[in-house]
Amino acid sequence: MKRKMKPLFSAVRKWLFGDTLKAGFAPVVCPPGMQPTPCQQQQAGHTDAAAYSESSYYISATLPDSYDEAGYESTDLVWAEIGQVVKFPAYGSMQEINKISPIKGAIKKVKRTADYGGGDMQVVDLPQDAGQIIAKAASASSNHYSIKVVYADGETHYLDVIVAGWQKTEAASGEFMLRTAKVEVNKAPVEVAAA
Amino acid sequence: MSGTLIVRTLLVADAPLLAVPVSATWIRAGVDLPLKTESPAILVLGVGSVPFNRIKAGATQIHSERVQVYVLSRDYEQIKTILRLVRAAVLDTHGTVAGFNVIDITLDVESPELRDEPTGLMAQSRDFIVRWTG
Repeated sequence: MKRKMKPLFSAVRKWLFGDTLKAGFAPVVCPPGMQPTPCQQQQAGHTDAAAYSESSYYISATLPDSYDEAGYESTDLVWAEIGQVVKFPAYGSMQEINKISPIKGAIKKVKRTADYGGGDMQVVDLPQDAGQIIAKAASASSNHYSIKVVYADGETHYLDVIVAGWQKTEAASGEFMLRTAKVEVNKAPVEVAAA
Repeated sequence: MSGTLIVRTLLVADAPLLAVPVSATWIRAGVDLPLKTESPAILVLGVGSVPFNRIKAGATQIHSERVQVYVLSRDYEQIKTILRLVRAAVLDTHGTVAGFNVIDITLDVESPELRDEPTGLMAQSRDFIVRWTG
């Protein structure tokens, strides 16, 4: 029985893990029901604790032809770095839960549709900064924009966003002049492992 | 700490302060007061600095530095006059000073009035918060 199952297990493992068993990647265990490619894409990133320090943030007014690595890495997208970012909002899938409490039996729960996050991006106010100029224009537009986040280890995430607001922070003695932009993510982030 | 250098540069260039008279020789950065220091003397001391961290540090750092200006004199009224002139010389400063970009300088605490009986010296200090990039 074991001998018969071995080739089957090998085939399944190869189908699930694919290239992610190359050197430098941790073996990927995909959740049941999740297709291998996005699963491997999301999990083929850093394999130890990481921090946000030295991350770079870029913005482009251009949207990709396809919302994947190839689309975002097209030369049609021209990126401008957003200077001196102090804070960037949380992004990624989050789903609220609807509950119904039957008189008898356990509470039933269902997931609502995903919200891909967003919130305040805060920057040191630099009116001449190329990226901030685009972010300001984005706040005045109803168009979607593209944001690229490059982490210190080279891992890159691409976001489809709308920017609502370009507000100066409250003035007080000794406070730095900052700008707050509300950045909301519309689609699942496209995550590309470091080269 | 560069906030110290910034404040000293402003003080030694301030004509009303030098006219007290306070000699530029006796406006010192750091804790050393050599023998035969003449009063009035001013010590500019760095107390501590806190960086303003952005996610990506970049080529220049932003600092909030506490700088203490410590005035010594045998004349009580002179100490008060000097502290007032120091305040006027330092506040409302923006732009390049001593090679650093000064964002702003704000007032902070004033110390108690101190007296050293054997020497007859009196002293009082004023803290400033110097925000600069470099």
